[in-house]
Amino acid sequence: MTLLNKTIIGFAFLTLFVSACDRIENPVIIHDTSLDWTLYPNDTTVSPYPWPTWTANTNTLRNVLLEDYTGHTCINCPSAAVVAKTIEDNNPNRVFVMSVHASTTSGYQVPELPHLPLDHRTEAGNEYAQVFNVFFNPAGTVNRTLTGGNYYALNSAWTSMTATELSKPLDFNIQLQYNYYPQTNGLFIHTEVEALSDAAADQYTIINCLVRDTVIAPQIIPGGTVEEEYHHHSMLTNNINGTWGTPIFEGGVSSGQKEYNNFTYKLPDPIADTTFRIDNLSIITFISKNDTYEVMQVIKTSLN
Amino acid sequence: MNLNNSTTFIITSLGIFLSQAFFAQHKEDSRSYISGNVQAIAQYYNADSLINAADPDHKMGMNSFANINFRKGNFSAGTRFESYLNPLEGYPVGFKGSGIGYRYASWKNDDVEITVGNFYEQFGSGMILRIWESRQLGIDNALDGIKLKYNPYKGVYLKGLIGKQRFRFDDGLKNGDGLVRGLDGEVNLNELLDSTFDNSKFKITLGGSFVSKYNNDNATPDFIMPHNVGAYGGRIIARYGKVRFYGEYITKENDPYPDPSAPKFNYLYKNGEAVLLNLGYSTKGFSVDFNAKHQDNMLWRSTNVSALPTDLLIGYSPALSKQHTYALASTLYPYSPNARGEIAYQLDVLYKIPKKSKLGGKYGWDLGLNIATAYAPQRTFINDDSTSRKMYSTSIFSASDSLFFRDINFSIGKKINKKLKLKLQYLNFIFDDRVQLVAKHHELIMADIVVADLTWKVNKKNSIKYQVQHLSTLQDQGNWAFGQIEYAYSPHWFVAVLDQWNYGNTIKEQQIHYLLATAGYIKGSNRFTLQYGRQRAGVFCVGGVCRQVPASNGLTFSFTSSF
Repeated sequence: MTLLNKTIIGFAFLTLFVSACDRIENPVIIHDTSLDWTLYPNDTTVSPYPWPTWTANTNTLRNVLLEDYTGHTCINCPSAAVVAKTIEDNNPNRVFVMSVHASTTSGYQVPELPHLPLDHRTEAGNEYAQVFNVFFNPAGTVNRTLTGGNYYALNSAWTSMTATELSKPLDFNIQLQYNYYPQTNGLFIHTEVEALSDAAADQYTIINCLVRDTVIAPQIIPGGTVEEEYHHHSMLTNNINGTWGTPIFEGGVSSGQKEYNNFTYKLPDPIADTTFRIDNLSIITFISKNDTYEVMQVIKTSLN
Repeated sequence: MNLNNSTTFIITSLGIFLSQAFFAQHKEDSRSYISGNVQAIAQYYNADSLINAADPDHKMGMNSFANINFRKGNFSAGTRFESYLNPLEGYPVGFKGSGIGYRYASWKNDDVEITVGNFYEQFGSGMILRIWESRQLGIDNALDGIKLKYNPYKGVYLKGLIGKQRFRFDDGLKNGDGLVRGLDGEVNLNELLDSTFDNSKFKITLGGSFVSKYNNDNATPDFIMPHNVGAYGGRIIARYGKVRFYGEYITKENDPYPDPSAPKFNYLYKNGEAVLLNLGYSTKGFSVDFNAKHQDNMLWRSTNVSALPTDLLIGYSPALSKQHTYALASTLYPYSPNARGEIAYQLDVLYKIPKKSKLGGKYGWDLGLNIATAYAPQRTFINDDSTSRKMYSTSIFSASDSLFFRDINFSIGKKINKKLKLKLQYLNFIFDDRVQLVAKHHELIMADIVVADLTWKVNKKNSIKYQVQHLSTLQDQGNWAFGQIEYAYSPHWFVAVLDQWNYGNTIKEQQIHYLLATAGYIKGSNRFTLQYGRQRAGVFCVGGVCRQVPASNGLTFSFTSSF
C-alpha cells in the first residue's frame, strides 16, 4: 500500500466520523393540541415541524398601536387615515396603524349597494367598538389608553398621545416567528413574550390580528363621491386568537420571565380574493392589560 | 452522510484494509499455543435478619468464567464461557444463565492488526472511549464488531473500530442496539522525526480521537433526539527526563438522557466537556504526581434511555483518588466520580528515607501522602427549558463551594528487622452522601481511619499477618473496629480470621460483629479458597466504578486457575 493510499483512506475515515453528528438547536417538541396540524403538509415522522430557535430580544423601546376606527361611508375618515399614516411613517417600526371598520352603531360600515358592496367589519372590531364606546367615526385609540375618561380620541389628538406613549418605559418585549405553507394556506405563528419588569398582580393577554396591508375598495371621500379604488391601509381582517387573545403569565410575572405561545390559522384562499396574497398580509401582535385594556407593547410582522 | 452510507463506507474501507493486509502476509512462527484461565465463586446464603442478609430462594449463587485462547503465528482466536447459576447477590442484573459471552479472532502483520468479534479498547485516558470489563464489578461493555490497528508510517498509530456493545448476558451474549464508531490516532514525534529527536531527553506524543454513536432507542414524544452523537478531543503526552506530563481535552455534542430526579439535568442538550491533566516527577526513592480534572455532562453511553450505572458506557470518568485496600477505608465511603460533573484534584507523594541513612536506619522508611478532593462545577443556570435546553453554563476548572469528597491520607511503612514489617496509615474523609448515596443516611459524613498492619515472617515457611483498623465518625453507622489475623504456611496454605465490629452504632442491636473465617490452598496456578461467616454491606469499587454489595451470611467457595 502506498503512502498516498494510506493517507486517502485515513482522511476518508476522518470525514466519515466527523459527519456523524446530529446537532439539535431547539429540541423541545411542543404538544399544543390547540394547533391545527392538518395545516402542516408534511409527515412529521419524516420531516419534523421546524420549531423556531429564539435569539435574545435586544429591543428597549415601547411601540404604539394606533387603531383608526373608520367606515367606508364616512366622509371624514380618509383625512383621518392620512393623519394616522403620517404618524406611522414618521415613527417607522414604532407606530403601527390598524384600521378597524367599526362603530357602536355600524352606521358607516354597512354595505350600500350598488357602490359600496363590501363589508369590512369583523367580529373583533365590532366588540372593540362596543367596549371602547366608539360611537362615531373617525375616532382612534392610542395604545388603548384613556384620555378625558374615554378610550377614543379625535385625530387631532393622536400625535401628542402617540408621543406620550412612545416615551413610556418598556414592560414587555415580543418576538414573532412564523411558517407559512401555501399547499394548505396554513400559517403557524410562534411568539415569545419577555417580561422586563415585575408585575405579579396584573393579568395580561397576547392578541394576534391579521391585517391586509392594502385593500383597494370603494370609499366615500370628501365631497360625497365614491372613490372606487381607494387604498385602505392596514385593515383589520381577523383576530387569529380571538377578540381578547390568549392569557399569558397567568401565575404572575417577574422580570426576565419568558412565555412562548403557538397558533395556527388557515388563511383565506388568495386565488378567490387576491387581497389575501401572502405578500399583502401582516400580523399585528400586542400585549393587553386585562383590567384597563392598555396596550403594553406591539409589533407588526409582515408575512411577505 | 446517513447511516446506511456510513456503514457501506466503513465496510468498503475495511475491505481495502483487509485485502491489503492479507496479500502482504508472510510466514512466521508456525507453532500453536493454547492458554486460558478459569474462575468460579460460589456462595451459600444463610438467613440472618439481624444484618438484613441476602437470602434468596435459590439459596446459592455461582459466578464463573473460563477464557480459552488460541494463537498460531500472527493469528489468534479465543472465547470466554460464562456461567451465572444464579448470579451472586449484589451482582448487577443482566447476568444469568450459561453460554458464550465473548469470542474473537485476530490477525496481524507488521502494519495492520484486525480483530473481529468481541474486543476491548481504550482511547487516551478512556474519557472518550474505554471498552473494558471487570468481572468483580460486573461490568463488561465489550464491543462486538471489527477493530483495526494500523501503523502506516513510523511513529504513526491509527485505530478504527465499529461495533455494538455488550448489554446483557442471558444464556449468551446480548448486545445493545446502539452502534459505536471510533477513530484514534497517535503520532510519536520522536519516532516520526528520529533523525532530529532520536536521542533527545524530550519525548512527545500527540493524539486525537473521534467517537460517535448511533441509536434511536429513545422515542420520547417530548424532545427531538439526536440519533448520531459525536465526541472528539486531543491529548499530549510529554516527558522531559524525570518530568512527565499528560493533558487531554474531550468534548461531546448534545447527548440528552432522561434524568427525572433533577429537572436541570433531564434531557440536557448542553455539550459535555472534560479536561484531564497530570504532571509528575519521579526519581529513585521519590515521586510526586499532581492530577486535575474538569468534567461536566460527560455521561456517554451507546443508548439514550435510562440504564443501570454501568450499562453500555462508552466513556470513563477517571477517579482522582487513591484506591484504598484496607477494608474500612475501601468499602464504607469510597469515592466514585459524579456522573453529572466535577472538578477534582489529587496530589500523591511517595518518599523513601534511604536505608543506612541517619533517619532511615538499617532498612529505611516508606512515606506516602495522598490528598484528593472533588467539587461540583460552578454552574450558572439559564432559563431555556422550553427552547434550547442547554440549562447552564460552566467554565473550565471553575468549581463551586459544594464539596463532594475529600480524602487526606498518610502512610508510613517500616521494615523493623528481617522478620517484622509494619505499615501505619491515617485517613481523613469528608464524604457527601447526597452525591454518592452510599450510606443513604446523612448529607456529609466525616470519618477518621487509622490502620496498623504488621507482618511477622516467623521463618521461611511460616508467616503471620496482624491487622487492626478503626473508623470513627459521628454520622451514618458510627464507629467501626476491625481486626484480622492471617497465618500462611508457604507455599500452599493460609488461614485467616477477621472481625468487623460496628460498636459505635447508636442502635444497640446493630452493634454487630461481622466475623469471617477464610482458608485457602494454593498449588501452582490453582487457588482454592473457603470463607464462612458474616460479610457486611458495602461498596466495592475499581477505579472509581462501584457496585453495592449486600450483607450476607454463609459459605463462599472460590477457585481460580490458569494454563
